[in-house]
Amino acid sequence: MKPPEINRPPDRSPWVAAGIAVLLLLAWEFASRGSERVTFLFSRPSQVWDALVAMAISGTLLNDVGVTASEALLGTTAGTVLGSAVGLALWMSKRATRVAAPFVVMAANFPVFALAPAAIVWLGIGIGMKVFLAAFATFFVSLNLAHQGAKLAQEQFGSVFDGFRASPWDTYRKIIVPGALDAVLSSMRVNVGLGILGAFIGEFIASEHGLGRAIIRASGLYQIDRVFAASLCIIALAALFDRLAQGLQQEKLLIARAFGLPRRLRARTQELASRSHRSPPG
Amino acid sequence: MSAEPDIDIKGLSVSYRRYDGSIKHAVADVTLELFPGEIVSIVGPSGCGKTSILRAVLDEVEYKGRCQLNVARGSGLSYLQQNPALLPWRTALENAALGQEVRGLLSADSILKVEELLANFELGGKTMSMYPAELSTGMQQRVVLARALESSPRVLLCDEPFSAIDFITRLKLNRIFKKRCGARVSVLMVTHNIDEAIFLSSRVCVMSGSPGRIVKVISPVFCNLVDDAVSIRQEPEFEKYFNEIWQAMRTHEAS
Repeated sequence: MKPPEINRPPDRSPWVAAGIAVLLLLAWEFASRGSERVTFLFSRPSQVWDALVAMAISGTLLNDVGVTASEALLGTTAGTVLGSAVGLALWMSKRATRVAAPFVVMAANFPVFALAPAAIVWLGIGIGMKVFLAAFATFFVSLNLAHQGAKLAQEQFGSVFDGFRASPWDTYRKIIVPGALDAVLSSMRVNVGLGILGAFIGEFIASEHGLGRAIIRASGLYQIDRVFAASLCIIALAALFDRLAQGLQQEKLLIARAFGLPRRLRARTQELASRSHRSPPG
Repeated sequence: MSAEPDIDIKGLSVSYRRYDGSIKHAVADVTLELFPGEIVSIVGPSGCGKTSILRAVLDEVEYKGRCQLNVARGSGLSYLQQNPALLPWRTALENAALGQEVRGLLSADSILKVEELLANFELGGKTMSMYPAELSTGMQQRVVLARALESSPRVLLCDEPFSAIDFITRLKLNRIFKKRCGARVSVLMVTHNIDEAIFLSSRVCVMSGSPGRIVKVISPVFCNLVDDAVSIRQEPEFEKYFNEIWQAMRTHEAS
């Protein structure tokens, strides 16, 4: 369904933001052109661009971006899925939740950095270690948010199912899981940043490739332009992942319908919708 | 009336603890029986504990006194809440068929029956494949009503079931509701609307302000006419009942 067009003045805020960005870049460029010292400490936009182009041409940039992206993507997905699964499962037992609560608080606040040495011993210095750290950094956010979401779904819709005397399993798959989906998807958006940070920390500790590795090496040599160039790529990566998570969020209705909706009913709804020339729900 | 009531309430009192620790007496010493096939309404000022009585029947609050439900919970009992709790990711049809689905009774025939019921509530055709967010509050309320009646419960507890529905639809729904409940369903209903209470019920219990007590019970005789809540206004007895209820409400507004 398309909402009706409403006559509104066009939104100029992107242009205003772009204008401010251009002004800031120009100010940075000209401030550093006047002073060697400023250039040494902060580089300048034209140098950052040159570094970016040089890294791209040499082929290391694409490789580094690919490595960091896959570490973060795998880790964030694993952390979000596993964390949500545990958070949703805790709905089944209030007692287990109370027992687990102090452990969750402790583990969730455990510094990821402190875990890195152990992670190297367990998983080596390859991609597995970074995926683990990214997953650890995201796991507890999803656990907590999914559990909150499950409690909220119980509050909102639970009484309906109590009235029907539904089994706990039916309640779980038909209202708790789809009802908590909103919270799970929100946790995914929070996790995008945390997952990249987890992968970055892993690369920081020990690695051969990745944007984190590139930043460490460049900052050791005081190549500030390369540090900023690689940082820009991390920001772009985070923005891209956030768009993906946002895309999933927009499909939440369809995703929720995958849980506990009988095929027969779904088919009937589709039939009714197509008969009345509406776009059929999935 | 048969001897055994479906709901048997005697000397019921309900109290809540407020956030500041003090005790609020919501309901005091209410005695009420609901016999099979009866529609009993509870009217009274806002906050007088009407909903608390329903919640006591459902065992959702702690109470003193007797509050006995003589039907099997589950298929025997339906509860219609004040706010329509529809699942937002399910269409009107999928929401209304929820009771059947949970009881494992879903079949092509049973789905058709739900569709018929929805059509009765003027939710036929394309409305059935719409999501709650696409429906008005009144339409949502009707889906909830269909969901509660679809399971053919023996006892139906309703909390302001028609409150969000526009006037004309409300009259139609009153009539359908009365017809569908007939003598088969025992209904305990909370309402603000005196016309509706007189039209639908075989007994109207008037409650006083907080703590709520039943101060008057009136037995309207319209309960067998199948018309609507506007046309009964023409009946000579209507004014008598209305005035009795209104007087009782005015006198006991605050106690």
